[in-house]
Amino acid sequence: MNCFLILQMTSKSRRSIWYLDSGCSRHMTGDKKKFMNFKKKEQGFVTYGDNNKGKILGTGDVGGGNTLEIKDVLYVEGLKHNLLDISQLCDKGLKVIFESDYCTIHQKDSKEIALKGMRHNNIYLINLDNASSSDITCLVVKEENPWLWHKRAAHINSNN
Amino acid sequence: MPKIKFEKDKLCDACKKGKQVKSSFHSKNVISTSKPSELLHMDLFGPSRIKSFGGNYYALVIDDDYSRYTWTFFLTLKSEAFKAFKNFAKAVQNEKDLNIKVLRSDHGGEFQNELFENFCEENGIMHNFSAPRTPQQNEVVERKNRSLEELARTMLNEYDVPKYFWADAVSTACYVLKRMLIRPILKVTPYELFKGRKPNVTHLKIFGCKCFVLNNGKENLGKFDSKADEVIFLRYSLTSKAYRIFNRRTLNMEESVHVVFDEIVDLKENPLESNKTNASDEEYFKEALDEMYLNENPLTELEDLAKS
Repeated sequence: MNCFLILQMTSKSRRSIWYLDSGCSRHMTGDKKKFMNFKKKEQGFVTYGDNNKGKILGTGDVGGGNTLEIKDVLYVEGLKHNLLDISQLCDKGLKVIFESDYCTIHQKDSKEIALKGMRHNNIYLINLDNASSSDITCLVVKEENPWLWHKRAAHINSNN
Repeated sequence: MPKIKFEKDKLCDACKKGKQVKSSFHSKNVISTSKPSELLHMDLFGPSRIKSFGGNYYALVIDDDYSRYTWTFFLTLKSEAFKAFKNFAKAVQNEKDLNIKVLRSDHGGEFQNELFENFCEENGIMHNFSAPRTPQQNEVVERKNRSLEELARTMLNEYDVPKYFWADAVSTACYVLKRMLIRPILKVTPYELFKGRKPNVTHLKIFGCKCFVLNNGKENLGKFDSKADEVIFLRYSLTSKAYRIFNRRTLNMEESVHVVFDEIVDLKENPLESNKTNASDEEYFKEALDEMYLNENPLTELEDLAKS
């Protein structure tokens, strides 16, 4: 597996920012806290542009909840940035469109934007924290008082 | 113990007579219908100990198998079930342009009677019954009953709304469940499955909360009479786009859209007891005043007078 992106090091820790990368072969991240469900599985190594190697420690799904879920993300030891692989997104039936100053990710048949990324210098970035998903379970906006909505909803069970 | 190879090739009569238990029931993980109103589950719960505000004791619950869209009807007598069902069946078949194909209910006398039999025969509806004394087979609607009753109980308890509003609580619970439940497997709300569009939930309010309704030309008010009445919210109107509220001044049920809700102000405050707390405050004041009065007229003076 190869990963060719040249990263611009920024001093700020941008933990939930993902780089859109056409050159890498899988989604990958170095932050284990991001995973919703994590399977430990040592699968080999990732080779960086400078021929250094990073060890793959496992896979899992990222996001979910009120953001878009991204499946099959590799957990790579020591990786300081989060990479989204465009080919893998397209395999999942998504459509990625690049414009001069932003990019959008759609579900294949719908016009609704699932994710929107901004261009920063010469790379496209996506902030997954801001992304809201069009998931059907999101009937109530989260910013409002959840207890108020619990009461309005006739005290319906709210485990999910 | 001697080593015995035991083969279970026949039943032991005595064992069965002494130990047999009920067979188990498994829920199925598939959706067996493909359209709304293909299969309807029906059940009746009640009688409630307390007569509802509208004078009813029973609730008829009808649940659509595919969408889990639910209807509730409130009845004074069990025998009214057929009339309620007949009207409902006509309305729903007209609305969806679909025919009811199968009905499922228990063997209750309100469902298993000549009227139902004739109606089903005329309209080509199959009427299935769960096995006698086996509510487990009527599981869909029995579970719905439990949800409705639990939610209603919770809502009545929240603001200590009088129990005779149980029918309103059940109706509200049903209204909300249709819009908020997510149907397992399909991951869609019953409302969307039945109506084909997403439900609007922005108008949902807390049951029994304090609100104010504008006296919208209902009474002939003087210039300086109060324009609005303090009322409690009871349910959503099923026939018009309005809230149904109970006016404590006139002791009437009203429907209105000119309602302002007071939901956030101390969610624990009880709208029905707000008057009571005032009364107890007054009592407290009286007691305090009495005490002060007594202190200002010291007993010693009286004693002195008595002595002289």
